[in-house]
Amino acid sequence: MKSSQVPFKEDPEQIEFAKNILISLHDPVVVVNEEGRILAATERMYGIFKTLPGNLEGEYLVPLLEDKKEPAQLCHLLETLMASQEAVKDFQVVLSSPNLKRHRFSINANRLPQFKGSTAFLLSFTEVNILHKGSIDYRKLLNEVLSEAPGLICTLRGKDHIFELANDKYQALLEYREIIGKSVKEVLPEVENQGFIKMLDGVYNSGKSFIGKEIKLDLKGENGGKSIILDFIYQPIKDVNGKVEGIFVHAIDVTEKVLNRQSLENSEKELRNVIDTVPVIIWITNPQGQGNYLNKEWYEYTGQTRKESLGAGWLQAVHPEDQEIIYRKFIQAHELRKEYYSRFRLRHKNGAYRWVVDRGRPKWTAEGEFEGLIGTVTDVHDDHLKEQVIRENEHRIRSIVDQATVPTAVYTGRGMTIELANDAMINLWGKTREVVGKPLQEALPELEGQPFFDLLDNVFTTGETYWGKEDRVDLMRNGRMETGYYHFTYKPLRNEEGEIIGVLNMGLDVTEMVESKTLLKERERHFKLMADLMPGKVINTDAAGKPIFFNQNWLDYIGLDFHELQEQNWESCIHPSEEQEFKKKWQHSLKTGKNFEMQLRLRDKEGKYLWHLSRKEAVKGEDGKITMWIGISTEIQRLKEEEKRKEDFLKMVSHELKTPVTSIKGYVQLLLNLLDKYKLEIPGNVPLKPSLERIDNQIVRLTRLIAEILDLSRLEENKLELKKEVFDLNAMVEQTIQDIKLTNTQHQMEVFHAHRARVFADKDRIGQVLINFITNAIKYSPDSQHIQIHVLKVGEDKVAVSVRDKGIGIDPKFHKNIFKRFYRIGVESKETYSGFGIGLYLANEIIDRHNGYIEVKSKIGEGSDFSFVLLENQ
Amino acid sequence: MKKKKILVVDDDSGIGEMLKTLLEFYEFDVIVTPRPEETEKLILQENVDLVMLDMLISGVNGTDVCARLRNNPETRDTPVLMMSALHDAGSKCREAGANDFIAKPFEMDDLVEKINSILGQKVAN
Repeated sequence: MKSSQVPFKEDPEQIEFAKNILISLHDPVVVVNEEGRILAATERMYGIFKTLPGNLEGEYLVPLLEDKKEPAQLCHLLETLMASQEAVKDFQVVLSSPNLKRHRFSINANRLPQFKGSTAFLLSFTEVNILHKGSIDYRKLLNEVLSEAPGLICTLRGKDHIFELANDKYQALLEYREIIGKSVKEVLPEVENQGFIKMLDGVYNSGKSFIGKEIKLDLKGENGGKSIILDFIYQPIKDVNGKVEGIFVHAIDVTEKVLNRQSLENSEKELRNVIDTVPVIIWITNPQGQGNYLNKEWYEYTGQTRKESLGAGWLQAVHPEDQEIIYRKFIQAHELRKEYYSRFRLRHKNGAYRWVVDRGRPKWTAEGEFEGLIGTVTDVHDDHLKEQVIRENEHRIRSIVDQATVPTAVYTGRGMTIELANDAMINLWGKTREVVGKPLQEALPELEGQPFFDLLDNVFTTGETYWGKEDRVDLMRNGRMETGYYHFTYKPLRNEEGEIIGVLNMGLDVTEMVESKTLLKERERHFKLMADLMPGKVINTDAAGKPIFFNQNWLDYIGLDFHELQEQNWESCIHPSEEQEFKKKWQHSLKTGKNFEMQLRLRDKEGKYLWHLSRKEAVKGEDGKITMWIGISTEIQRLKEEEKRKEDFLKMVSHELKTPVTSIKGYVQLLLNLLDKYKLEIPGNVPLKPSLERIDNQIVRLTRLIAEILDLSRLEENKLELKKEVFDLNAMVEQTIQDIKLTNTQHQMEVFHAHRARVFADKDRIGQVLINFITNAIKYSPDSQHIQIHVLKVGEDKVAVSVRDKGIGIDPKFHKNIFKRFYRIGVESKETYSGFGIGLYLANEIIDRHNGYIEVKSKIGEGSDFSFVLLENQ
Repeated sequence: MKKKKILVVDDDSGIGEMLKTLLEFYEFDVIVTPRPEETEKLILQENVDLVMLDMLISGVNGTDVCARLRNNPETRDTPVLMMSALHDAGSKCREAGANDFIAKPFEMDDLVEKINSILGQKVAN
């Protein structure tokens, strides 16, 4: 025995076991292990050594108890115990301790039942000094010990295996049958055929212990009996002489453990059966990636033998091109203890390589220990080919999308990764191809704060397509934030199972349209604003004349709001006297697109009619079609009143002027008549008669001027009345010229009647026009005295009267202006060409009202040709 | 042959005097009044052959006077020549029953012709 200080490394369970044995003992008892170290001791034992409980554990018993004189005795005892299986009784030693007198002790020592493969010894000390022989009841002591021990314990005595003692657990197992003092055969008749009695006999006879492992014991009981599985030891008990007295039985119920293991084994077996019957290849590896199991499908598929597949042999069935990478992945998965996935070509036993998918996942024990991978190999060759076709289709679709002019993009996953975006879309975004593959949020961060991420998320969640109509999108394009407007769709994309996997985004840039619309609205607003600010009454109608807008002035004037006015029909506020003419003219304008202009009275909210000048102009589109009409009615009531006053005034003036003129003219003519009648001779060659004639001429001119003023005011008031009659135009021309000749003798006037015609017209007014032409010809021909008047046929049914002179002529650029009121061509000598400048204006108006027209041909220095054209009366 | 008697109704004395002088030169008897209300009385008293009636006589419309003459059986047949500075007033005058109309200022010859024409018709009738 060594006494060196080897660290004490006893199993705590064993110490616990030892303590449990001693817990109820009062005598000084100690349990030591095979090394002689103390595992546990009773309190009395501590008392002997005068030390505290716990201080003795792990100490070597021999040096502790060493009486300097008799240490060898104790050593001998222990050696004896170790060497044999036998108990030692009444071993007399004298021990001393530092504070004690020397004492003689009798030691009874026994080997304890094996616990977890370790042996321990129980030593009971009795002071011989006070020893009364037989006072120590060994059996009682042992019984006490055993009753506390774990497991089922009993002792059998004699060759018939009479139960001497049994712990409570043992008795409980036998449902507390009466056993003590009875033989095994009596107590347990049912076990006779289970071989136990034979085993006991063997131990009793041989003196050698027997260990039983997982032996099934069937017991009969009141409730129909039970089966338990036991690990047990039969250990012979020998007396001091080595003769077997009985058997120590220690059994542990391992039923549960065994059943668990069996069911585990069964399930594994079952699993393997299942694995072998499923139509997929299944493999199981160990932690190093060695294929320790492949189901029979593998062998059937590859045609490999089990031997060929061992280790990494299975790899030989993989296509040579795929072997290296597959193996690397496979080993890596084992090293990382992670899932494994690969797709490779596997040789079928028919020699063809087929595409397979190989998937594996790590296996863990209940304790969390990595056990390797379990996986499957699936033939996806047909799918693979299909996929290839799909991929080709996808490629084709992609290229179509790429080339499409409609901006198109596909986002996948909830993260909206840009899976696909064609150039049109990239361009729309103002980004580069680099954005493809990035989440939208990363590619277009400027969309943050705009509604699109939420919309996309919603489409992804609900599967409802979103249609954007003229939605505003602010995009960072070429380094600048730009606002655009788009029609676009967010359409969910689904896989074959109907799950939403992404969103298809197609868009259309409608910025220009929206902007022009906005501009248009803005313009419309401006128009309305302007219209409201205008003093006139502005109306806006559609092409058919239906009002779509009245400005505020209109509404204020009539005292209605827009809808009321629209319902009531604004035309109803036109004075009945003008209503018919208005309708006629307006319809004409609507039909022809010609501007409308008319003076009419409009009723205000108090029922008072006020004069308005109403103008309407068509607004035409690019195609020339009328899109709407804009009309303005300006109140001219005061103007009208002014005009009326003016006309009254002019009437009065002309009337008042004419009265003295009439008087003067009468006297002049009387004087001329007197001169003629009496042939009066005026002394001194006074040119009386020519003077009177000139006065008369001037009066005619004055009269005409006065008449023109009146005519003008009437023209403006539209009151120029025409007294139409059928008359001989040639005769009228002839007569007019004769009249002019009476007052003008200087110019030669020749008339050419190339055509003879009658017309339905106002004879006086037509005469007035002719006089105007001739007097103009005279006026502007200071150096030429020749004037020609032609009556000509024009076209089928028209007749023209042309007045030609060889005078100063008119620049063609003035031809239009000469018909304007008060227009006079700028001439050098004001005196030469007097007049109001209204003659041609009047002439033009008169001919116009006869539905005729005036033509001018003239060149500077070559004279003029004025002609009026009238419809013949046939 | 007895001279024809012409009654000139015009409030403008200048015109009245001028016409009196002028028409007397042409061998007519002429009486002039500026008061249109005297017209009927003078026609009957003086045995007038023709009335020259101005259209506007100080507040009274000549056409009304003409219409009145036409409605009076005693003056119904007396010819009326209306005159006016408004040269387009002819139709109104004819409507009122005037035999003819002449615009001021007039050519002496035209006036005499119109008077003779009316009187000739009368004679012919």
